[in-house]
Amino acid sequence: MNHVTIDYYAVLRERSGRRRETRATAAPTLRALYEELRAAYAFPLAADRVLAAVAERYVDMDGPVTDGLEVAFIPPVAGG
Amino acid sequence: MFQLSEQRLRPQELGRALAAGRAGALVTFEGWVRDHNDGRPVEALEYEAFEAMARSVGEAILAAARARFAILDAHAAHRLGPVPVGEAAVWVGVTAEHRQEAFLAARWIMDEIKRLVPVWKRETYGDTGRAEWLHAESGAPATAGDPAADPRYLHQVRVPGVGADGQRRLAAARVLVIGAGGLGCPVLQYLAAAGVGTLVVADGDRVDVGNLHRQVLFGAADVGRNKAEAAAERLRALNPHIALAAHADAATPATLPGWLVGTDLVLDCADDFEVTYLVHDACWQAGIPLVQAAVHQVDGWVQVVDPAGEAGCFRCQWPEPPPPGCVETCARAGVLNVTAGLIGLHQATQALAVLLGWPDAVRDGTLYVDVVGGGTRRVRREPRPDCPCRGHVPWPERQDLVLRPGLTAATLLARACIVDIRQPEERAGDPEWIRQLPLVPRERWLEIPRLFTQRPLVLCCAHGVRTRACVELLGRPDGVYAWTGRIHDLPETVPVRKS
Repeated sequence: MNHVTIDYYAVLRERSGRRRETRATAAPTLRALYEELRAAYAFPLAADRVLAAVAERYVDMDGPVTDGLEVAFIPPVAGG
Repeated sequence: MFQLSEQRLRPQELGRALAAGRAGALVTFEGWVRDHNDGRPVEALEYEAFEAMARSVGEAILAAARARFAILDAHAAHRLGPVPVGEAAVWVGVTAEHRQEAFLAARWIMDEIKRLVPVWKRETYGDTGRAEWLHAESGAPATAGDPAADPRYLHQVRVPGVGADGQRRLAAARVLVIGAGGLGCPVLQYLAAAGVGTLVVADGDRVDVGNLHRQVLFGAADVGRNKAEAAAERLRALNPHIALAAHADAATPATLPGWLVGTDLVLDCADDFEVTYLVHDACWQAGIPLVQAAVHQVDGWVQVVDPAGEAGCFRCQWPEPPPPGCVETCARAGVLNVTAGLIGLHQATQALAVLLGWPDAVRDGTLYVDVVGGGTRRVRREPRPDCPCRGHVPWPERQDLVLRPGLTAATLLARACIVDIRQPEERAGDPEWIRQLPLVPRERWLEIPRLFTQRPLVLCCAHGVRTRACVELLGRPDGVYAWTGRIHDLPETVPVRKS
């Protein structure tokens, strides 16, 4: 298991009810991690509809999950 | 009434038509033909117009002035044909109960006539005997006097990086704000107060009582009014020294291209993915920098999409809008009023940074803001290799095509058929590559769709004024575009045409 810290934005923060959390996961990729969270929190968006950012860069959803990873999941936002 | 006249303009008669017992002020303006231009002696001058369009645009300007200013009436007249030095080429008259509104409206009308009415002039120079066509647009900022000396901006001008030059840049800028809602209200309020010379606000919605908590330009009395018009009225009171225009329409493929002409910067303050993609694509194609932002409850983000930059476009991040229903708007998801306020101010800040040319604007990233926790995260953006924008070539200057969605300007010009729509005598002295372009003088404009079947077709003229009139004349046919810059600027941007 890897321990990862996840930041949530907008509708993902709303659905998860938290801004940030650290959790243990066996997900090998960011995509798998997101799908795990999507199942846990009933996120309305599929993995290919959100962005992942690591170390202030957008990263590929098929990138690996490593121990100590900090990742932000960012959904599209339209409100104005 | 807007008149086009081949006869000498008679100010007294024109002014009399405005007479009314209620009027306490008549302000008139006359633009005269002078004996020099750019330091060269002028012997004679001839005006030519695309008359049907000039009349309708002129009438629309006068109607807009009557709606915008507290005036009683407004008339204007423009000379056509040869006009001797010393005679009036254009006349504007405005009556009002009070002089202030009459002065403001007269100035605004004159600026709008110069900017929008398709009239162009040919000057015969005394030094060469040659005649040249010039466009009638002045591009003069609408602010009174030198904005850098205006005490209103004193404390802003002192900030390093603004200064007198920066304040003049702001005054010369034309900024289009799409949406006068939760983001648009603070954006407009601060850009108006900062002295952005021309602010254009577009919104097709009406003020709802549920908007008032965050759309702080509006009061209870504005409920039911069009947002763009109510915002423009409020902003005029906040800063009477800038020019304001309101479009009481949503951005659509039909309305947006016209609004973008002459625009230096666009802010997307809309509440709708469809509009966001439409505005982005149009700005990207037109080469106009765009400041985007969006809010959700207590979160928001802002970024600058710069077609001349290297960070790619919005579609590099988000290739397509999310499926309908997955992401809710403010009205459905809810939004804290300070979220819209804070993100709107971030957006206004980015707009000022772009207009002032500051290097640290968020051109290469996205700024995510956690409104309550106060945290920000700046994520770096990069072009996506398979994004359609990859074919985009940065332009040396703002690109000047009236475009419609679906094409980038560079791709368009690279494979377009380019047609010169000037008069044959205007080609004298042109470089060889221009003389090789097909030439269709104005008496044959209507034949253009039949003469040239290849699409896209790009029309060019001396200054990009006649091309717009020509496209209108032809009924805006699909695949026919107006180059709104100078034909002589084409070699910079169309290398294939250089040889």
